[in-house]
Amino acid sequence: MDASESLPPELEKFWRTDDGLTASERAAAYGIDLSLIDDNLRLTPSERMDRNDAAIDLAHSLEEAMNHARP
Amino acid sequence: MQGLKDLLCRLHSGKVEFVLAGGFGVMAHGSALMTQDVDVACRMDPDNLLRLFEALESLRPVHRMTPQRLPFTRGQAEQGGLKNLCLSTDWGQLDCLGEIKGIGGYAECFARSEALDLDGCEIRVLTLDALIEAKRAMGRPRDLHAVLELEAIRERLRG
Repeated sequence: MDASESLPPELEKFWRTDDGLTASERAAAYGIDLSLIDDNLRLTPSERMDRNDAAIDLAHSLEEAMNHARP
Repeated sequence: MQGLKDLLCRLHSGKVEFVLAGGFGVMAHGSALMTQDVDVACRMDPDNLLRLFEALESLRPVHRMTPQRLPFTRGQAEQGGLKNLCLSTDWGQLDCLGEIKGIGGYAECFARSEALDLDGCEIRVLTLDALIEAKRAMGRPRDLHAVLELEAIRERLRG
């Protein structure tokens, strides 16, 4: 792991599980949007993969468009 | 356009022995984290690598980490002796790993995996518990995010 992949000290505590929080409370305190997870859990794994693939396609399309737009 | 899910089904059709791990496995369990590559724990013996090569041959696999992006060849597969393969294909990036940190090699990964049905294509994926252990063992900031999501998912599934 290089230096760019080190965590700020204030975030290191989130590795711990003895903080009295539930897993969902800990994730929310870290800043994770749990509604996204709840949405995903309504999908099948196959549908989740389709969404991921569609997002990658979109990101590539946007990247290409940005490259064409740049002088 | 074909994507990473199709890549996994291609491996399955080619009878490649693998277990889905990494970020794509995390996402398959319900995480909202997106990923651009697929990590699989793979048997790295010549027989399995040859099946891997034949499954990917038409997708123009190249070694992603080499500056010249050299092709992955039948000869390399037959020779064996590879620990990991980081490939780029026409359908996306695929990392075949001989070992998953925190879990072990292919056999240990298979023992900690479960079936995953992808529209009739049944593959193996590391269990939620195994993925949490693997991500904790990796210990990078992005792994922490994945761990927190996976632990929240586990809690929600247990009700």
